[in-house]
Amino acid sequence: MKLQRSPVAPRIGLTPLIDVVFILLLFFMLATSFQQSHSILLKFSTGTAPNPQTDRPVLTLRLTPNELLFDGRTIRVAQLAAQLDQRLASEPALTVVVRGASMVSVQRMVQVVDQLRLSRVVDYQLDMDTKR
Amino acid sequence: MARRDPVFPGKRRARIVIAAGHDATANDDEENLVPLINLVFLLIVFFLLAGTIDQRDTIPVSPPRSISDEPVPDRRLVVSALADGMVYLNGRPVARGELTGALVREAATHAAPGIDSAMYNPGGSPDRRVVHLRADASLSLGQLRSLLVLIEDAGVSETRLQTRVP
Repeated sequence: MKLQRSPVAPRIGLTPLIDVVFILLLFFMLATSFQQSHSILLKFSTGTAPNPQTDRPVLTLRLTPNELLFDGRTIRVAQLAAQLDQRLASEPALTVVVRGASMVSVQRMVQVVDQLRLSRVVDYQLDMDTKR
Repeated sequence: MARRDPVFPGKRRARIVIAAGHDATANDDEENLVPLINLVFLLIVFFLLAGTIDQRDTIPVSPPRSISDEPVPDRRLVVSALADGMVYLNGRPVARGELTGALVREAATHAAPGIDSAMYNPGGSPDRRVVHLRADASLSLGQLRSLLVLIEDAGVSETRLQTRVP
């Protein structure tokens, strides 16, 4: 029997390629995350004294789950940056201590730290109120 | 001259186009698929370049939202703290009491010569040891502080709280 050779070269089908490509697409769609992560430095005061540099002015903010005390006055967290800007104008070397109650959520503390960032406070410390 | 249809003499008989052969139709089909494949490849390239594949994200932590724009390195030592009190070190569950020891062991592993030490010590400086804390936004400050004490006991000099964009 004589084998007849086809004059046309055998074609490679595109269908398996498409299958693989779709599986790759599915994998990357499911495995990829677009959530961007950033970070903030956690600076908790270590000793009993919140600020060892006593020559620098210190502003202590008291944070509870419901209120934020700035100089003994209750303010909203969103107002903090504006209040701090006023204070920083007269005292540029201000150290801010955020003293939070232990029940305050991490999110609330981060909101306060964000306000410090907005006012460009570089020197801040976190502290936990053990009394409450 | 066109032939008249015997049933409907007013109509021209429909012309039947005979395909040149099976091969030709297959060819046409495959040529139609090429733009689709191009598109799918572009999508793959997009997902490859625009996203990151991060195994640690499988731990169900929702970090606090923040305006912070300080980036986190790809390779890092991550302590995850869930709202229910579970603690993970680099994706593996760790008992709270064993976190300090586990961090010291992990640091020793990554500081070994030939192994990438960037995870724990990004600056290369021996006194700068960074741990990234992926804490749930609903954790309390008290829980965060007690976790931080455990982390600092392992000789960590800098603990960074991971946040997400609002």
